[in-house]
Amino acid sequence: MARNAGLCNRLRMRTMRLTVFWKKITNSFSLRVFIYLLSAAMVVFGLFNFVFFQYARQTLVDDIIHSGNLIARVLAQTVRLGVFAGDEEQLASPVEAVLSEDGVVEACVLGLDGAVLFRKGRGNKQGKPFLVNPGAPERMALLRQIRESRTAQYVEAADTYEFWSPVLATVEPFSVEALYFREQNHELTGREQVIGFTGITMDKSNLRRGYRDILWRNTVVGVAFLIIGTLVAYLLVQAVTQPLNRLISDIKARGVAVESEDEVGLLTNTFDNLVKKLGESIATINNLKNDLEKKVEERTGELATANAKLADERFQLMKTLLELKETQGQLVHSGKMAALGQLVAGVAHELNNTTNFITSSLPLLERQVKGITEIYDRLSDGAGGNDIPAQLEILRELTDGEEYRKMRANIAVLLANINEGAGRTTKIVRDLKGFSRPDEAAYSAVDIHAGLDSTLTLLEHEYKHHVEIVREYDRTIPMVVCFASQLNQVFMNLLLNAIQAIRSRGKVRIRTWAKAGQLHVAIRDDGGGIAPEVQERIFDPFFSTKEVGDGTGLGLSISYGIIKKHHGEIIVRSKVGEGSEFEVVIPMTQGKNA
Amino acid sequence: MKRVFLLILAVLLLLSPGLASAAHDDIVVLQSSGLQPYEEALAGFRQTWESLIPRSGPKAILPGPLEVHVLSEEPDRRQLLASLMERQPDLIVAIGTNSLALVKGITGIPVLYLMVPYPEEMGDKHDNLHGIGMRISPARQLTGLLDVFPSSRRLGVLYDPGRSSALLEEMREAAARKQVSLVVRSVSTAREVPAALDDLVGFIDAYWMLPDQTVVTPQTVEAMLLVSLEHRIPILTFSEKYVKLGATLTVTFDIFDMGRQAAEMAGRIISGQPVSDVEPGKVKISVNQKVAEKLGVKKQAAIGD
Repeated sequence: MARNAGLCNRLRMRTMRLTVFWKKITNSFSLRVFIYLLSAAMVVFGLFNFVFFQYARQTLVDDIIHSGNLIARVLAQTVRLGVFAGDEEQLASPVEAVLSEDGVVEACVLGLDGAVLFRKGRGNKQGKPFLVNPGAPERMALLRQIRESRTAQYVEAADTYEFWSPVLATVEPFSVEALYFREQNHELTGREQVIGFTGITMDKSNLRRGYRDILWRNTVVGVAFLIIGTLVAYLLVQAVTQPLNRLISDIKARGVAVESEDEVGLLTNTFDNLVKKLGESIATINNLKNDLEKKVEERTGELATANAKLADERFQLMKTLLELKETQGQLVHSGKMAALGQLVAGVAHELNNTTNFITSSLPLLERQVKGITEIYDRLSDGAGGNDIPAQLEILRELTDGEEYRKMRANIAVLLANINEGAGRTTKIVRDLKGFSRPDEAAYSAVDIHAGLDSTLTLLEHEYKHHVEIVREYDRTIPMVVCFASQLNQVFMNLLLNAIQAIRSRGKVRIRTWAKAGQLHVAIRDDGGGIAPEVQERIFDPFFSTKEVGDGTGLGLSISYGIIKKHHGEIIVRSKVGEGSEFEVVIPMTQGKNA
Repeated sequence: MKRVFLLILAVLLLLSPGLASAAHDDIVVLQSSGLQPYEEALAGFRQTWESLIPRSGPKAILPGPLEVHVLSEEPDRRQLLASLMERQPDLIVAIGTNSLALVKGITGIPVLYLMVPYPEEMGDKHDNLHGIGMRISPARQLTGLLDVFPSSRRLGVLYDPGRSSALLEEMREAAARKQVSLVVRSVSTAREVPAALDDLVGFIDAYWMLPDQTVVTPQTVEAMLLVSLEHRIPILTFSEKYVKLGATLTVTFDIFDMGRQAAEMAGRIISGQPVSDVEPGKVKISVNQKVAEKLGVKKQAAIGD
C-alpha cells in the first residue's frame, strides 16, 4: 500500500517534471522553431527516402529487365548464322559468352518450332533447368507471340526473369538489284523472318542484393543527415532567433509588460500595442491636421477679409489723402485768400486813407483854384482896361491881401497833401506789387529786407497806432533764394500775429542775420506770450486763440508748410506775460536741395 | 486592257515550246529509283550526251533538257506509259530493271536500257530494244583476280544448278585457260550454303562469288564473310557492294562509264545508225585493303579502290 503510494508519488513527480519541461519547450519560441524545423526535416527526409527507395528499386528492376532484354537480343543477333545453318557449334560460343554475364544463369537457343538447339547454364535449386519446357503451353504461346510481334518479351517468375528474343534473318533471296547494289529501301531487301528464339534466365539475387544495398546506404545517410541536420538546425535557429532575442530583451528593457514567457506572444503583444498607439497617434495627427487645416482656412479667410478691408481702407485712405490734398490745396488757397483778404482789407484801408488825402484835399483845392481863377477871370474880363499898371495893381490887390496869402498857403498845403497821398498810394501799390508776385514755380533770389519792408507797409494801418516797429537788419545779408511771395506771406503772417499779440502798446522787433549759410529772421513781440500747452498746437491747422470768426487759424500752419518747403524751420520762444519770438531759419540758397 | 495582256501571254506560252523545241531531240529517261548507282549512270549519260550534240554550225542542235522520270516516285506508271506512247519521243532510256519492265512492250520507239542485270529475263526482245549488260565475263574477272592475287590457283564456287549452270560452264572454261582449278559445290537452298562453305575450307585459295540468287542472300553473305575471315580466304565478288561489306575484291562494271557508253549508243540510235547490245566496256577493280591486310594475302600491286 505504502509502496503503491510511493510509486504513485514518484509517478506524479515525474509527470509534473515532464509537464514543466514540456511547458518550457512550448513556451520558448526558438526551441519550438528548432523542434518544428527538425521534425519537418525528418519527415521530409523520411518521405524522400521512401520515394527514393521506391524509385531506386524500380530503377534496379528496370536495369535488370533492360540488360536481360539486351543480352537476349544480342544473343539472337550472334546466333543468327548458327540457327540459319542449323549448326550447333556455331551456337556454343555466343551462349557461353552470355553466361559469363553477371546475373545470367542460363541461356538457350530454340528453333522455330521451339525445339532446343542449344542450352547451357545452371538449373534451379532443384537442379532442374529453368528454360527447358518446350511443350509447355505457356511457353508455346509466348513464342508464338514473339514470332508475331517480332519483339523481345520477358517473363517474371518468383526467383527469376526470363528474357526471350526472336532470331531474325533474311531468308528470302535478294532481288536482282539488291544482288548487285546496296539496299536503300525495303523494296530491295527481303523482309526479315523469325527463324528461331533465344532465351536467357536471370535470377533475382542481384536484385535483392541491390535492395539491401540501397536500404543500408539510405539508413547510413539518414543517420548522418539526422546528426548534421540537428546541428545545422540548431545553429540556424540560433542565428535566426538572435535578432529576435535581442529585440525581446530590448523590449523588456523598456519595461513593457510581459504577459507570457513566449517570445512570439511578447512580440505580438508589443506589436499590437505599437500598432494601436500608432493608430491613435495617426488619428490624433489627423485630427490636428484637420483642425489646423480648418484654422488655416479660417485664418486665410480672415486674412483675406482683412486684406480686403485693408484694401478698402487703403482705397479710402487714398481717397481721403486725395481729398485732404485737395483740401490742403483749398485751405492753402483759402489761407492765401484769407491772407489776401486781410491784405486787401489792409490795402483798402490804406488806399482809402491815402485817397482820402487826395479826395479831402481836392474840394479845398478846387476852392482855392477857384479863387485864383476868379482873379484871372476878372483880369481877363478887362478890369483895369489895357493898362498894364492898372492890371498889375488889381493883381497886387488880389495877391497882397490876407486872403491871397491864405489861399497860397492852402494850395501849397493841399498840393502837399495830394502829393503825400499819391506818394503813399504809389508806395502801397509798389509794395503790393512787390508782395504779391504771381505764384512762382521756381526759386528766385530776393532781398529779404525789401520783402519785410513791403509787408510792413501793407500792415501799417494795423500797427501804426499802438505798435512800434524796430528793425534790426543785417544789411550784409546777400540775396536769398526762395519763393519770394510765399516767404512774404510767412512774414505777413508772423508780423500780423506779433502785432495782434500786443493789446495796448508795445514793440515788435525784427532781427535778421545770417549764419552758416542759413538766414535767420526773428520777429519778437512783447505781447501776452503763448502758454506752453498752446505752443504745441499753434502750428496745427485751424487752431486759433482768437475769437471764432476772427481769422481762419490757418496762418501759422501754412507758414509752417511754406518754411518746410524751403527746408527750413520756425522756432518759437515764448513766455506768458513776456512776449514771443518767432524765428524763421531757412537756407540761403535752395541749391541742390531745391 | 487585262484581256489583251492575257491574250499576249497565252500566245507567248503557246509559242514557247515551239520556240524552245527548234530542232532538239526528245529523249525521255526512266529511272527505276533514286538508287545511287542509277544516279551515277544517269550522270555519266548526261555528261557524254551533252558533249555529243553539236552546238554551233549548220547542224546545230539545242541540247534539250533530259526529261527524267523516277519510277519509284511516279504516282501512275500506266499513265506515264500512255503519255509516252502518245508522245512518241525519239528515244527512251531505261535505267534499271523496273524501268525496262515498263517500256519493254513498246514498239516503234527506240529503247535503250542499262543497269539491268538480266535483260534476257524480260521476255521477248524487240528490235527496238538495245542496251548494255552488267555481266563482266568470267575471263575478265579471272584476269583481274590473278592480277591482284596471282597466288590464287584453287577457286571455290557454290552455285545453284537451276540458275547458273551456263555461267558455271563459262567460268570453267575461263579457269581452264588460266590454269586455275575450280572446286565446285552445288546447293539448292540458301541454308545449305554455310555447310557447303565449310566443305570448301582447306581446299581453296580463294572463293569466287557469282551472282546467283540462291547462293547469295543476306545470310549467306554473312556466312561467306565469316568463313573468309576465319580461314583467310579472299573472296572475289561481282559487285562493289560486297567489297564494302568485307569481300576482298571485285572485278565489276564501271557505272559511270556505262552511262557514257549508253550516251554514245543513244547518239547512234538517234542519228539512225545501227546498234547492238554490248557488254560493259570498262572494267572496275576494287579491293578492300583492310580486309586484304587482315587476310594477309599477298597483293600484287595497288590497283586502286
